[in-house]
Amino acid sequence: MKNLLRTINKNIRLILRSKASALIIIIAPILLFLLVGSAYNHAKTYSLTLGVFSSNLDAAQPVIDVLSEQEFKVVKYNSSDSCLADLKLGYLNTCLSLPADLTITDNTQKEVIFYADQSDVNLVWMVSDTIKTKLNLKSKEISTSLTEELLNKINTAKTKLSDKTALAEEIKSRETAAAAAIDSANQRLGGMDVTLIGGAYNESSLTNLKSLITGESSKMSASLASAKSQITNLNLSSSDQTSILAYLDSSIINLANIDKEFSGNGSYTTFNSLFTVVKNDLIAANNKLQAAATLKEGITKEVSTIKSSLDVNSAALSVLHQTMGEIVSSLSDVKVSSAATIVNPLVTKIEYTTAKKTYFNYIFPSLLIIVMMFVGLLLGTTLVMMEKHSPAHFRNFISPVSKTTFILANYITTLLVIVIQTAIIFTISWYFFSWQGAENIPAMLLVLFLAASVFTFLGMLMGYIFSTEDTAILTAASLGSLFLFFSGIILPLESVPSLIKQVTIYSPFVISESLLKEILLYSSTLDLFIEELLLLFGYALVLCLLILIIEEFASRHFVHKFLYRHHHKQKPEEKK
Amino acid sequence: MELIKVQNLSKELNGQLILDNISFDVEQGDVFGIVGQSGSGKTTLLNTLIGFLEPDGGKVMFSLDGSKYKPLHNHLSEVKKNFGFTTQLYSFYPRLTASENFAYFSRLHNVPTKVMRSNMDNLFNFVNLSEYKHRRAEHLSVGMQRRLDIACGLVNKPKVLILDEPTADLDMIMKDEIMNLIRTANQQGITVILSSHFLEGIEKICNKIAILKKGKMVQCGSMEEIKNSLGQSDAIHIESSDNSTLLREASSLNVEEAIDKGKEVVFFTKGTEEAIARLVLLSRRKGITINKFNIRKPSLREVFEAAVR
Repeated sequence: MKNLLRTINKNIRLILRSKASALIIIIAPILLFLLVGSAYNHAKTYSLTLGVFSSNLDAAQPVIDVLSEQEFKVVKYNSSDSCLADLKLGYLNTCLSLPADLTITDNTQKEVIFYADQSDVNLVWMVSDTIKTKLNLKSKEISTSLTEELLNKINTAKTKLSDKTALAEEIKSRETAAAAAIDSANQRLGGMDVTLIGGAYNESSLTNLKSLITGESSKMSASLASAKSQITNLNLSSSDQTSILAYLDSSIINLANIDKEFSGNGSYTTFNSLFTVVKNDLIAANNKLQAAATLKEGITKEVSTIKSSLDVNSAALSVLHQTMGEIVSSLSDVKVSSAATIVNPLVTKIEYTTAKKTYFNYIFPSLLIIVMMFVGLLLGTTLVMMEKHSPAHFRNFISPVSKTTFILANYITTLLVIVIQTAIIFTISWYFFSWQGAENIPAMLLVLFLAASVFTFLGMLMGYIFSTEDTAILTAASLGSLFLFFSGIILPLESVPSLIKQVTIYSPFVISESLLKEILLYSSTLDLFIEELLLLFGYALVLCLLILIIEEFASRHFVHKFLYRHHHKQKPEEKK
Repeated sequence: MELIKVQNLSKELNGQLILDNISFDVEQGDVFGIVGQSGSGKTTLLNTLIGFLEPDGGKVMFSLDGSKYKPLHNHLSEVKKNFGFTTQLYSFYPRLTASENFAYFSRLHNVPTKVMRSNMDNLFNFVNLSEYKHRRAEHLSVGMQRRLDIACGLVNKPKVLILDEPTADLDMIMKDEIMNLIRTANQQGITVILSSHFLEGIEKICNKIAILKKGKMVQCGSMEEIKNSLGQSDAIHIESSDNSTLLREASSLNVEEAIDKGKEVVFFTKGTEEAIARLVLLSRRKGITINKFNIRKPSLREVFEAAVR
């Protein structure tokens, strides 16, 4: 245990006695923590930038106003192409396609299309949820408005119907009274005696008989008259003629008597009694008719009353009909009748800017740059340190080879290692993880080359600045961690204050990652990123120059350090 | 022909004057030894001669082909091409093999591959490393590493080879071997400048030496001149029962110098006979028994010790 403590003690002393190491060990984590902590030390929600396009932006202003609340910055676009282009370039977090008119005039739901970049894996779901929440608010607003309109109309109909209830009651009571009157009339009509008197005869038979007899009588009279006129033409004696004529006259007189019977002047009692009966019946019938007439008059009056009542009802029903018509018309004015449209007038649809198969394809650019960064930083530092601390450094120093050659050799060596690693990564990704490759390979290679160069030079710079390996590597690792923290990979950049975000967009990691993403996910061409490429190139150039300058100073310092070490080594021998 | 001329050279490091007005010349074919105590400025001097350090005062001039002398520090590229150097701490890549190291440094000197291979064979034979050329440098013994370092210093067939403490950390036999190597290299036409604490070896191979003391050159010249700097003196070596009394009474003995070497005392004197007579008288008077007695010419070590005392 004691030996363990002594060894720990010794290690701590060794670390602390290298001032630069001690500084880096103590300061670097604190600095990192302070930087990252102060960047994320707030409770604000993410500041998202939304692109909005619509064929009528003015009409979509209400939605834009809702979205502009709080942390969202809204940028208006005239076309979807420019909005989507900016989304792919990373200037926007999402694009929204709003309908030209948000007014719901029929049962068609309005569609809001929301374009998201799935490669922004940290943010895409949060953005999606946030936008949906915002749009849901607007949708609820519209839905509330539609529902209010519908309810208003229903209320109006209800009011009108309530108002007309009394009228309907009146109609009903009149209806009831009319029905009662009709029943009463029915009853009285039912009590009317309309039975036939005598009953055995058939009036029509009498009539027919009379007609027959009268007719025959007339015929006979005519025939007799004709016969009488013809007698003179016959070759008969006058006595015969006179006898026949007398018979004919008698027949004619008999026939006339028959006529008299039927005219009521005869003496045949059968016909007379028959007619008396008929006459009595007629009188009785007449009485009944009179009673019926009286009844009829009464009923007629009642019927009039009923008619008046019904007329009033009719007028009332007209009023009711009109009211109902108004209600129908009012309800017909409601254009939105679909429950789905009322409940959900705005429908959000998500479309993604990429159509890659797996999330691996989305995070592949970031992973590649992370690997490249750490390899470049650490290997660049390590190679320089190995050379500086190598016993052969002195011989290299006095060899007829320029320092630039050694610097270039370290750079190319690191680059070669990165190339090999990248090739392995590509192979593994393609074979095991279904990586879909790149369409624009020259562009991808250029970006990778520039990124690798920047990080390699940065690592080499650390190696030239610091004299001890542990300090240099710690610094390089801290730098890599800093880049990573402020890259949007671990935590979204949208959650840092805007001032810091403006600085992070110049981070070589952020630039490299976004360029690679554009090329691999969106097959973008390099002409869109001239500025970023020049920036990377500028970084590489500046770092290279810095290395040359610092190496010049470092070499002089090396001489003194070398001699210092040499003199100190000789001191123990002096004691001998 | 003088290859290198050092004139009034001064150099400060960290505010301390390391070299103070040093002047000497190195001729073609010399084996020039630089001796001095630790911290006397030997390494600083050699580093200045290789162009590693720039003088603060004076100048270092060189001429490799008999033409006009040029300031060394203004023609470093020529220096780097024609000078070879080894440091006290070996300077090669431990994880590369001996042959890989040799090949690499040859390439740095733009030695063509064919020539390099021929050189390698010759040099590795020369330094007795042929058997070990495929062994990693870190796995070589200290002596082999030293030889490899010398071989790497000779990759470009330099006209001048500068060696800083080439025998440091080696046993006596290895020291002798290295010194023999250096002598052989010199015999092949390479001018050698070396510093070492191995005075016996220096005495054996150097034709000229310079003695430094606290940055100043106290003596410089041929080996004969240096040895004779004590004025054609003889060195009387005495082991007695009371060396301290003898040393105390040295002024009465007619000697120029007296050195206490612990076990023995060494008296340098031009009048050897008189000094011996006085010594005998003294020892009788004081009752001192003389156990060992030897007379010879002073060695370089003795001259050196006298010079730096």
